[in-house]
Amino acid sequence: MAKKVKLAFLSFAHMHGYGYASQLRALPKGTVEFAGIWDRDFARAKKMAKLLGTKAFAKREQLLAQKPDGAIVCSENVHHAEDAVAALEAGAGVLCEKPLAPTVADCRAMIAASKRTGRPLMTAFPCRFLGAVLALKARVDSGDLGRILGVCATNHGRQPGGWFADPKFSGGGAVMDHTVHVVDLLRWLLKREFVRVHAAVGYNRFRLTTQAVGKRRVDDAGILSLELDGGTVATLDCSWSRPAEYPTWGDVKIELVGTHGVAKLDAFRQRVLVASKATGKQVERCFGDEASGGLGGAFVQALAANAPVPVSGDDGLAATAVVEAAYASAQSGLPERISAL
Amino acid sequence: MARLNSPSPLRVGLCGAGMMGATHAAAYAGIPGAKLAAVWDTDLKRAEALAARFGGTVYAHRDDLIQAVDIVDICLPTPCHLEQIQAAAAKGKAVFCEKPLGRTLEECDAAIGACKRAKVPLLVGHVVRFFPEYRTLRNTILNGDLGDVGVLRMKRVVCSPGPAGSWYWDFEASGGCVLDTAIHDLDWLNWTLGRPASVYGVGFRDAPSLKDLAYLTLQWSSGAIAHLESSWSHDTFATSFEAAGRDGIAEFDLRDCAALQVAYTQAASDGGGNVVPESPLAKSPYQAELEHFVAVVRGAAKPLIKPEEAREAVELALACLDALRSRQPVRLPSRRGGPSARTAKPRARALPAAHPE
Repeated sequence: MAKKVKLAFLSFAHMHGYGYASQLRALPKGTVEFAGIWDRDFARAKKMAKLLGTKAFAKREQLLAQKPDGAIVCSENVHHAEDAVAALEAGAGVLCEKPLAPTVADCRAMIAASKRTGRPLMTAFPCRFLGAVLALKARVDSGDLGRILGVCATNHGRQPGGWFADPKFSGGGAVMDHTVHVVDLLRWLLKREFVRVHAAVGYNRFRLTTQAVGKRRVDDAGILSLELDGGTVATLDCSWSRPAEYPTWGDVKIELVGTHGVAKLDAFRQRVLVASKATGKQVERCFGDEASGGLGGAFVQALAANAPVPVSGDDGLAATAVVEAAYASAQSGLPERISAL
Repeated sequence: MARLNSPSPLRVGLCGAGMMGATHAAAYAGIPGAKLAAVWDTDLKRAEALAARFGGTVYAHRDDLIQAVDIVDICLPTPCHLEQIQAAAAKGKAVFCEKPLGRTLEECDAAIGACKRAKVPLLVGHVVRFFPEYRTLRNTILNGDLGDVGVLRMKRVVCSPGPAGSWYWDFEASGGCVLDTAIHDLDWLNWTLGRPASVYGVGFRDAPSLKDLAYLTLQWSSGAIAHLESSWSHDTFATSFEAAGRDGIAEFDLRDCAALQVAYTQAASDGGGNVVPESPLAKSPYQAELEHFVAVVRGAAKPLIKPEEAREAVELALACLDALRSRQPVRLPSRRGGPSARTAKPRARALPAAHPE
């Protein structure tokens, strides 16, 4: 029987970390073991350690000294590079929460560390593993839609509050938070790179932002107009426009208009609507699933087999390059070129 | 126009017996104050077929039709609008004209001038203002339920409106989906939020393969932004909108409003089993629109759509086409007062302009 993959968690600042941990725990028995948790917030590390049945470490070095095979980085965006590089240098492969980092420069440093150490760096783009998304990918790959002319996409969300709405820790607001998922999906689906972006950005447009960020100026509304090489055009609404009263957190929707057909993806549409005394307003219970253990499973499989990770650091960098150019466009008011490489 | 005050119905002369002409003819059948009296079309057979269904005398010559009626209703291709409006106004007839008012601002100005000089009413068919869902959204925004609007999304996509070679696919004539189809939403946005400060767009356009697609972004000086999806390249007709503001969100999708769906099992075996979802209304928006026009002509109502607003919708659509062509944002000249005053009021905390100079 193959050796267990030993995993370390570097911070649970991003709530997705808990999702990844649950996903990893659900893998077949004997697949993974947890080395422990380190967090800049030690109280949170202790709480999560209790929840996941593992140890909390006060210092990152102490945890990395346990020689984990892999590290899952879910710290605040601005700490991704530091945490990922430390893990890579300690010999751990890294699965890093999206965005890979808030700047292209940080992404480059992480990729360089991965090359230097020979340890893999994977960007957490979990949408690639959703059943509905994989079904769309099969249709695009079949060629039945013809050439894709236009893409109209949304990745709406609630204002997450906390450090997400503090550019000191996040690097930006809604554009930083909700651009990269769809950008990555489109690069992967269409096998094309983004070359140009225009960003119309709104600041402090929603009530939750006002409550969560006080006087800080945060972009919470954004419409990006994008061009890919080969001529496909796309728009993406990345706004935090879902109020607390909304029945769900948001959406990932992509409509592809091809020369021979139209495909509409609503990635989280497989759901049961529940309204009860317990839930109050109507809520959604999603039943859509993910292929083979999803993102976490894919990371562990790659580590165990010493195989390349299915989503690379370069993929993370390419998405961050779009974000960086989008913020430049919001500043200049003009479309900006995107150059990832 | 002595008949305007008489109880007998106003005589409507319909110019153009295509799809929109037939829609109007059906609507007049439900309006007691008007009746379809005359029909004219360059295709005489088409005019005869329409008259056979809805009544009215078929005229072979347009000027004879104008002579015989009180109202001239123009459902012709866009490039024909101006000449038709001028001919009707010259004879002192009230004019209803399908959108867009003209292909160019010069045409719009000439049309408005002709009706002003002749002192005849001119109403342009921005029928979306009469659609109850769009009226509900407008009221929801204006009564403050959503707070200041942050992001609007509007969608209006259709299959190819005509075969290859039809006037629709001559972009010089029709302006494509932006001037012919998106103009509904552009007018609604102008009407509800006031004129945007700038527009940008990306799209794809190729007449030979019947493709026209535009994704437009509009920005207001208030900080609000809107996305508008317009297409003649879709598999089906679809409209939807969403408005998210400081305090809440409003959404509509025509596909989710299918109050009635009927499908015939027999038809399925003939290969015609398509379900056509219906959202039944007591009065079609087209009838509401034309009823309003009849009331305007009788002097019983103030026009809900001013000719200048129809011109502004064309101005906005042309700015969008400029942005698509130049691949650069296009600013719109600011305008004194106007309907923007309410939603575009300066915020307590000043936010930066959408496009810094």
